[in-house]
Amino acid sequence: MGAKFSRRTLLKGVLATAASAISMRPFKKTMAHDFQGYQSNRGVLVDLSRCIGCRSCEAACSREHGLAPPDEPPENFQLLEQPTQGVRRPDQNAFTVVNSYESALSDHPLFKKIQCNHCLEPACLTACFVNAYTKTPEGAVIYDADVCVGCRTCMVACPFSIPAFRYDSAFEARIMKCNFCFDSRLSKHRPPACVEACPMEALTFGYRNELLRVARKRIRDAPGKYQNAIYGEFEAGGTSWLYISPVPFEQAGFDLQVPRQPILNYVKDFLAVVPMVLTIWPGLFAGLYLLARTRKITDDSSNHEDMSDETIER
Amino acid sequence: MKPLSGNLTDAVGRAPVISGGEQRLLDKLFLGLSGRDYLTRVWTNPLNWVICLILVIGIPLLCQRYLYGLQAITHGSQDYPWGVLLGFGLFGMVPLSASGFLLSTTVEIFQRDDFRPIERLALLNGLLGYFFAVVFLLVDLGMPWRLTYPMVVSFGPAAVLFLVAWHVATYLSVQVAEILPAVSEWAGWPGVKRFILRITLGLTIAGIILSTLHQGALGALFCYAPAKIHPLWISPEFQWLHFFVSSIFAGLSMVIIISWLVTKTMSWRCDHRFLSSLDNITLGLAKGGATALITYLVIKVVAVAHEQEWLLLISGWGFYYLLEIALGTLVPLVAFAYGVRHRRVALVRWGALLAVAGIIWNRLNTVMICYNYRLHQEVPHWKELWVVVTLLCFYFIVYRFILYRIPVLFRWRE
Amino acid sequence: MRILLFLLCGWASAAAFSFAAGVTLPSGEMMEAPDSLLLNSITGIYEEVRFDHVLHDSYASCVECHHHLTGKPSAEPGCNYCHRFGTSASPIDCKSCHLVDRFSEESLSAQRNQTNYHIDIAGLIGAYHLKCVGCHLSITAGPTGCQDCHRKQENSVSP
Repeated sequence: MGAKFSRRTLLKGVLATAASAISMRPFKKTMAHDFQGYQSNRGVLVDLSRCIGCRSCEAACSREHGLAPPDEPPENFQLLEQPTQGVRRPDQNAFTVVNSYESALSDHPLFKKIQCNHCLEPACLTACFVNAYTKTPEGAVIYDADVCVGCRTCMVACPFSIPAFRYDSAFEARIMKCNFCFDSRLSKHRPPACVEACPMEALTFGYRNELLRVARKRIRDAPGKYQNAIYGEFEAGGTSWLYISPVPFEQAGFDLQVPRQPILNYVKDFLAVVPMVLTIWPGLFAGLYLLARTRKITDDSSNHEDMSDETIER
Repeated sequence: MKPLSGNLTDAVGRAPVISGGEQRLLDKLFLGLSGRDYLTRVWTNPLNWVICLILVIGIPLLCQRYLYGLQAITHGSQDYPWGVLLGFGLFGMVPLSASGFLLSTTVEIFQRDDFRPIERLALLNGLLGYFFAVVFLLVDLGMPWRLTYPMVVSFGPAAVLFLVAWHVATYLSVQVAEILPAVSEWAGWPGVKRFILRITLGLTIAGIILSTLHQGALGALFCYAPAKIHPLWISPEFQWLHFFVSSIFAGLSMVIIISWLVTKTMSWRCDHRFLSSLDNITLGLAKGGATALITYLVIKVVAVAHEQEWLLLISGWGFYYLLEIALGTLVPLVAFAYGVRHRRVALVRWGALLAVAGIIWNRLNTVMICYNYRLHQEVPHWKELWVVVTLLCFYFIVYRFILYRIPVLFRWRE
Repeated sequence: MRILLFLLCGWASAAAFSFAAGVTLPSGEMMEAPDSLLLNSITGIYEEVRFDHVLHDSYASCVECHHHLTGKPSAEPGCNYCHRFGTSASPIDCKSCHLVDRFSEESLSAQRNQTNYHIDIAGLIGAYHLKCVGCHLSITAGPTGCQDCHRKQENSVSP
C-alpha cells in the first residue's frame, strides 16, 4: 500500500486527524482556575463536644427525604449511653449517620454525624462525565438522577466516601446522597432538617465564612476544650460542613489523609497532557511514516521481490 | 471443530464458485458445510458443552441482574463501587486490546511488513476487546440504557471519564473501519475496502492518539482517589504513564498468546504465510514487549522514588507490591529478553501469559484490592464471577466465529 | 412541619424563664425569683416542663445560668473581660437573647455583622439543653433521660 500513498492522501489523512482533534477540543475546557467558592455558601458547624448521640438528626433526615426510619428510634434515650455498633456509613437508606468513638481523652463516647460535606470544589462533580452534580450558590452539592448513567465514579472520587448507590433496583438505580435539603429548605433560606432537629445545637447553620469565625471563637473562648483546628476548612479544598472536636480528629474517626487541595488538582496533570497528545502526535507519526517509507523505498529498490507480493495483497 | 480441515479449507478460503446470493451466504456462514453437518460438528465439540454449561447458569444470572438490579449478582458494596466486572472487564480488557493500535502503527507507520501477517489478528483482538469491555460496562452500569448520555444528552467535559467515553467510542469506530477491509473481502464489497485503504494512515494516527489518551485516562481515573488507593498503586503524576506503557506490553503479550492458541486449535484456518512467519513475529513482538516492560519498571521505580515510598516497600502491602512487580513484569521481562536472544519461542509465550495475568492482576489491585485498603477487603460474589466467565464465553464464541470466517489468519483469494 | 420534626426528635423543651432570685434591676428595684416556673415557649410531643427554681438555686449560683445579667461577674472567665462587674438586664429571661427562631434572616445577619462580638448565641432549645444536660452530666448527676424532664403529651403520636 505504501506505493499508493501520494503526498495528497497523506495530507488529507493528517488534516482529517487534526480536524477530529480540534472538534474534540471544546469539550476539554476545565473549570475556572482560582475558584474560591461562593460568598453565599451556607454551611453547618458540627461541634463534637455538644453531640450526645441522640440521632434525632438521622430521624429528621429520613422523614424529610422519605427514607426508611433509622433502626433504633431515640425513644427513652439515655444520653451518651448508646454508642453505635461499629462504624456505619451513609448508604441508600440513610443520607446521614451518627457513629460513636471512644477516646482516652474523653470520659464518655464522642459522637460524630457524617453526611455529604458539600465541598467547595466537589470531587464528585469534577469526576462526573454527564454533569449530574451541581454546586449551587447556596453551597449545596446536588445530584440529578435524570442524567446519571450509574458509573459510580463519584463514589470512587469522593474523599469522604459519601455517595451511595441504590444497587437493589434495576430500573430506579441512582446515587443517594445528602443534598443539604436543597429543594425543600436551603433554596428557601431554611436550614436542613437535621440542623433544625438537633436539640443540643451541636449543628450550627450559617454562612460558611461566618461559621469559620464562630468556630475560631469557640476554640478561643474555651481554652483547652477544643483541638485548635477546624476539619473542613482546608480538607479537599474546603467543605461547607465544618467540624470542631475536643479530641484529636483521628480519634473521632476523621480521615486525615484527605488531601488539603481539591481532588481536581490531581487530575490536572493528565488533563494538560491531552492537548499535547492531540496536537503533537499527528505530526510526529506522520513524520515517522514518511521516514519509514523513504527508507523502505530505498531498501526496495535494491531488492524488490518482497514488495511485489505486498502490493498484490493490498 | 478440529474435524474441519483438509479440502474444506479450500472451500472457505476462497469465494465459492456458485453464484446466486443466498446460497453463497449460507456457504460462507456454514464454512461450506451443509447446515446439518455444521450443527453435528458444533454438538460433537466438547468445548461447546462446557460453554453451554456456563451459559445455562450465566444467562439466568444476567436476567436476574437486569430485572432486580446489581445487588442480585454482586455484593452491592458502597465501599467498593467497582468490582470484578469493571476491574477485569473494563480496566483489564482495554490494555489487553491495545494490540490493534500497536500493530497498525508498526505496519502502517513504521512500514514493518514482516509484521503484516499478524496485523489483522491484532486489529481483531483490539476491536473485540474494546467491544466486550463495553459489554462488561453495560452489565455493570447502573443505568445501561443511558450509555450514550455523555455523547448526546449531558456533558461533563472536565471529567477524565468523559475523555475515556469519547475516545473509546471514537476508537471503536476507528477499529471497525480498520477491520472492514477483511470483512469486505469476506462479504464481497470491494468498494469498501478500497475506501478504507485510502484513509488507512489517518485511521492509524487517529488510533494512536485515541489509544494514548484513553489508555492513559483509565489510569488518570484513579487520580480521583489519591488517598483511598494504597500509595504504591497510585502516583498522580505518573498514573497515566503507568497505564499507557503497561498497555503496550499487555497488548503485545495478548497477541502472542492469541496467535499461539490459534495455531494450536485452528491451524487448519491459518495459511502458510501466517504459520511460517509466526515464530519470527512472536520474537519481534517480545522484543517490543521487553522494551515496554523495562520502561514500565523504570517509571514504577521513579514513582516510588518521587513520592519517597521506599519504606512502604517493607510492609505487608509492600511485599504484595513487590510480588506483583516480580511475577507480572520482572519474570516476563527475563523470559522475553532471554527468549529473544536465544530464540526460545515457547519461553516467550509463557512469559507473555504471565505478563497478561500480571496486567489483569495489577488492574484488579488498583480497582479493588488496594482501593480502600484501610477498610475491609471484599471477596467478590460468586455470581459476579460467574457473569464475568459468562461474558468471556460470549467473547470466545464471537472471536472463534469471526476467526473461522473472516480472512484474518489467511489471505482471501478471489 | 416543625411540629413533625419535634415528634421525631424525641426532644421538646419549653421556655418561660422570667425572673431569678434577688435581682437588682437597673431601676434599683429588687425582684424576687419565682419558686418554680413553666417552660412552655415550645411544645411538641412533650408537655411544658416545670422547672423547680428553688431546687436549682441550691445547686448552682445565679451566674451559672444567668451569666453576668444578675449584676455579678460571670462564672465564665472569658465574659469578664468586658462584663467585669456584671451588667444587669431587664428582662432577664433566657429567650430575650436565646431566640426561639434561631434561623431567621435576622439572626443569620447578626452573625454576619463584622462588628458584632456575640456571633455565637445559641437558640433557646440549644441554650436549655446545653445548660441543663451539661450540668446534669458533669456536676450534679441530675436526670438525663428525655422523659425525666419532659412528659409526653397524651394525644401525641409516637416518634
